[in-house]
Amino acid sequence: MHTRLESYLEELERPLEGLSVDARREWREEAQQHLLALVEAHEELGRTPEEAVEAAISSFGNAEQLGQEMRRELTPRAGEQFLTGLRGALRPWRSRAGNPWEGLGRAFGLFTLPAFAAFVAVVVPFLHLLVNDGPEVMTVLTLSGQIGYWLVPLVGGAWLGRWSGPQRTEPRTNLPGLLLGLVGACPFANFLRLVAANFIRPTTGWEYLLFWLAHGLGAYLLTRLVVRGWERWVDRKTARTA
Amino acid sequence: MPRRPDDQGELLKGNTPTLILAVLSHGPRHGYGIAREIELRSTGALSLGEGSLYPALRALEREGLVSSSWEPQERGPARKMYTLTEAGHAVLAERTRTWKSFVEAMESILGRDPHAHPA
Repeated sequence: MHTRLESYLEELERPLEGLSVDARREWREEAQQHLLALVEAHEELGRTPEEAVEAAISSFGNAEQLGQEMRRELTPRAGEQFLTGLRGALRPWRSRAGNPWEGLGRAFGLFTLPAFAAFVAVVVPFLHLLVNDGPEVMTVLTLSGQIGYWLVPLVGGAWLGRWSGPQRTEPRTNLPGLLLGLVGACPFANFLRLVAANFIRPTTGWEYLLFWLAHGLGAYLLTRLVVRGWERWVDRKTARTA
Repeated sequence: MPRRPDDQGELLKGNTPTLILAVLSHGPRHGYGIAREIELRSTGALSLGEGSLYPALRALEREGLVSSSWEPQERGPARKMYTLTEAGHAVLAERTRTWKSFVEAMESILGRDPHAHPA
């Protein structure tokens, strides 16, 4: 492609830095196709290739201004980012969370929501025991705690791990990713929880919910840290070998 | 291609989303096709800054008035095609009604001879 067109496309894309890779790639491809069609049309009118490129760029508009307008339109609102993250929780690493709200949505979808659902699923059938305050209360609460604090981070971590590492394009057979996800999420998250439990002692339902949210976020961020670190290490190793 | 007077610029910018909806009501198109169709149907009087289409298209997508998908082409790479949604059709019908009543109102004032005495 013409170098002038390349540099114009770079200018168009520059203001979108920090947005998701997919959004930026789509915008670039779309703009490129439009510009190439314009160049072709101008050439059919008898212009030289250089003149056609300049005419196409001129009719497309000021790159900086247009890029900023696109950035405004492509930047999702906080609520949308959260929902995108929640949806992305089902395919965590294929497209990575590009911003804090999306990351929070993923943490919520992978860890907090299942932990809360597990709590409800375990506790609700035994509500009559809780009301009577019998000796079984502790058993039920301990069971729900074990599920919420151990089982859910294990499953969530394994799910994250499947989509990471050199084999991330084959999540079904990605055993190293799965193992690292398991190791990354659960023990770290619980270590964090045990430390936090020394300072925060939730008593009301809301406090428990906030505690779980923090626990889920911690599990997500720590797993992400571990798995991304591993990915970078493997990438560097591959680059050295190449 | 005829140049539009400068004072048409703002008017055109404000109505770009409606023009896009109107073009898409005749069938799916890609960005370049939308720009050409607007120019063609207005016989060149309404020539958009080509790039300004895309922020408007993204806004319409966000509002759910337009949907998009990448479609493979027989020749060349896949292109992003835009389609008017049900909600888009409804909004276009509403905007068309509003626009027509606005034009009628303006016409009834601008089209009247200012020196004519009422009967």
